[in-house]
Amino acid sequence: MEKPDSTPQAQEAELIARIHQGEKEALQQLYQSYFDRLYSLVFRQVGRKKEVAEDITQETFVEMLKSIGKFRGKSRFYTWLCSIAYHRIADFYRHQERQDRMGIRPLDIRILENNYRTPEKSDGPGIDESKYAQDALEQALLRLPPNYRHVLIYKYVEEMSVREISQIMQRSTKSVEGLLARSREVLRKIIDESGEGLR
Amino acid sequence: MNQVRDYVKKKRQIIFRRENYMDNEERMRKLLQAMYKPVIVSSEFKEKLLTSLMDQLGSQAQKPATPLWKNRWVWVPVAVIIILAIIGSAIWLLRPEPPPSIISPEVPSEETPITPEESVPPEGPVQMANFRLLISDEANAIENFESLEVTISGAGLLPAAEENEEEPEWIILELEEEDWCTVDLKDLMDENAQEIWSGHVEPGKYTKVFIYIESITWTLEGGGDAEVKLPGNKLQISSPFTIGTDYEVNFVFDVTVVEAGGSGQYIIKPQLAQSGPDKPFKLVPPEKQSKNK
Repeated sequence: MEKPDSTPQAQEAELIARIHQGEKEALQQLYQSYFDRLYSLVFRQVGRKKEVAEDITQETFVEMLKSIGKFRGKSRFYTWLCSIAYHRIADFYRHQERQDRMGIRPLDIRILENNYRTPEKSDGPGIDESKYAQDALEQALLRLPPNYRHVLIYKYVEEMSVREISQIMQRSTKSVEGLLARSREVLRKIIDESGEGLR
Repeated sequence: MNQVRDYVKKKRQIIFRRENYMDNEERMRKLLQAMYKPVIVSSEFKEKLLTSLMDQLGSQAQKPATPLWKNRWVWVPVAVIIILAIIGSAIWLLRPEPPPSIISPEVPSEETPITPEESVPPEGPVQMANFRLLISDEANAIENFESLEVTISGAGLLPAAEENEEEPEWIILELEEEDWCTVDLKDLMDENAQEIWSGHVEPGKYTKVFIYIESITWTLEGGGDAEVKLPGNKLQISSPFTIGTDYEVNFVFDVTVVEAGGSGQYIIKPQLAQSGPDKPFKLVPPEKQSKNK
């Protein structure tokens, strides 16, 4: 007798099939599995803006439910979910850019706050040096173009493969590799720049 | 205050560079993961969203299957077919009048050359064929060829300009690709001629005739290399003539092939002296020609 497939993908596929049949329990299970992770990702991608992150997360789940019948299992479910969110995030940045061009977006308070924030532990014996490095990196990340920031977060925080990132961003793997290399280069430049974050 | 800020900034950069975070992917990963710790979202928002998703799923499940005719994608091919049918009908209705099939003059025997006077057809419907274009070949260097086939893909007539009028537009005698006419000039020497086009054209005075040459293929007598060229993709002659309503004009377009100074290069060009509406010709039907080959 054939052993039933119990891989996470198989379990996911089963859950999806049940949701497709209208089973609420399956939806709840899937939601609980991915909500926190997706919300955290979106929160980072939109520069820690709580309201924006909530809106995008909500839109992503609503869209997911609408088009769950289109999920063919060619990627992990989470990758597919991220790709829905990625389009919403891209829309958000496009909208922001339009507002910038028209000069109607208020000053990004968050960036200003970060730029003037000092590490929790001040100078002295036993200084937590990684806090300083972390802070420098965060300042630099905030100044990266959104796509560069996204790709670094997918790669280093979400620990996704280049192939998964290419599925989310709808680019070739070669293009993602190029984007990653450029992102690191620009990040290094920003960090090396003198007067970083305080201009 | 400014001094503290500058110090902190400097300190950040020094540490970051010293630790070489950018060149060590593992360090960068750890640093980024430490920086981006999972975010705790308000349970209220999480619950609210789940409830609304549950409701959405419930309404999705209750929704009856959409009938096929309500699916807009079903209508796309239908719309395409309707549009194509409309375009097809319009093209069919607006197509130019085809040459009347009733005009198929009797093929004269090779022994009895006919003159234009003999080729006048009996009276018929108003839009009878009143013009026939034929191609013939004046012997020059054609003897050097075993065969010299030209494919004619169309022809044109230039109406004479009336006094104080602008240069009129060419009348194009189009040939569908399946009607393109391939003739072996070797078979059309002397008065032999083959029909290129026959049909009705606007009666009136004309000054020029051209034929489009689509391709040329040749074999030299006894083999060998040669190059056969055309001055352009069409051959044109100026020869004023009149097309009437009640008789058919047989216009013979005579071409010839000449060798350019014994160089092995040949040029096909129109032969004005042998071309025109009043030239005697012996009609070679295509069937006869293929037999000759």
